[in-house]
Amino acid sequence: MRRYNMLKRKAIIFSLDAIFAVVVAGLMILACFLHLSQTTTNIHQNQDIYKISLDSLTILEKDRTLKTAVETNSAATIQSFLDALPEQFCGNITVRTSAAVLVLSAQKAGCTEKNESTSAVRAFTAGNSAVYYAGMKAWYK
Amino acid sequence: MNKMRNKKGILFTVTTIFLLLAVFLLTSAYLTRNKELQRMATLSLAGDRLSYIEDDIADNIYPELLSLNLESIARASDVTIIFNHSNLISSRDHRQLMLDYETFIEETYSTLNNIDIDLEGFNNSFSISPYDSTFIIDSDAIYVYTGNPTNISGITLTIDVSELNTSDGSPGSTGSVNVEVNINHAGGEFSESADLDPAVANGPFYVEFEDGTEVEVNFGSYNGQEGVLRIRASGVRANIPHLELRYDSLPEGVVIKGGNISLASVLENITKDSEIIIAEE
Repeated sequence: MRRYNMLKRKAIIFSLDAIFAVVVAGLMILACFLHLSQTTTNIHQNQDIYKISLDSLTILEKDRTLKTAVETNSAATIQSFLDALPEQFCGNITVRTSAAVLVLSAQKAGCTEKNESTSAVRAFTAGNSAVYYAGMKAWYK
Repeated sequence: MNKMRNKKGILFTVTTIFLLLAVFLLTSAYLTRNKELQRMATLSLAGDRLSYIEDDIADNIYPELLSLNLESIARASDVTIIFNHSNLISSRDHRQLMLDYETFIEETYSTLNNIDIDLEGFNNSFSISPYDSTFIIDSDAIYVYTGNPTNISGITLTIDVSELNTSDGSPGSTGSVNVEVNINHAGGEFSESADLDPAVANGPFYVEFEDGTEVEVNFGSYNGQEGVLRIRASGVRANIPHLELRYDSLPEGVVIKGGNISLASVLENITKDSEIIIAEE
């Protein structure tokens, strides 16, 4: 009986020790997960998509697509440019006067605008040196 | 035997704690590094964005708004700079066009990009260094002032108008700067040249048209300044397919400059100040 009591006490001590070890180990693993969960790759994705928007608007301005679109009052070439973008990439472009009056707009076919998007702006002149700006919103499909 | 087991247990516990601690420190280091990379990526993007905005504002804006294109800068015995200009006409207010663009950039565009933009010295003029020349385009007139007119060695102009001429005239030679003026009009071509003194108020090269309008080119002293080139299209639309300025060759390269741009991103605490370089040799 005495020996049985001794063994029982030892078991309790062992169990407390083990529980303590498991709790410590669990806390440390949890801390590791918490740390890892704070890292994100979203910022890089947003930066990539933003840079693509900047490049797109630069190309459209330098090759005079935006100017021609305003002067001919047709967004067809802008639409073609958007449709030719990579499949996973969505975007729309609006062209406004310097007083923010909408002149033209186009959106890539098969895309629906999402809340999480980046936007870029490019100014240009058309017609009799009137100032316009094009705004491009971009997001991943 | 029991002592041995206890020692092994302690060793096992300590090793496990160290391993867990190592994993924790590793993740912590990874997190710190990740945050640092994000900060660097953000700064890098901010820099790219400022460069993009600078390019957007300044690139080709002077030729677009002033209807003036630089054709070439060539260096031989002289330095020759050739421009062409379209739409020299009183109804085109170059000063207002530049002012409207400046207002748009400093207000609407600045707000759209969430960045403070300031354009300084942005107007209907630009400078040509090292010759200290200032080129001004103002509606129906072009003025080229030069700080040291002895550097000017020659000027050649071709001007196109569609009116029918009635009379014309040209100045007599007074000095050594060769000025050649060709005016193409509905009645034919006016082509004259003279060697002029930049310090003298020389008479004009001119062609008058049926309705009393005229094209006039002057070179010499004007409003107390020597060596001023003036081209005026009074009441007519003139295109200038060839405007050639020849200067004595100086060792410094030619730089054609407009105003200055100042960009400040409050969010990223970055500023960028630069000159608008229209062209350089």
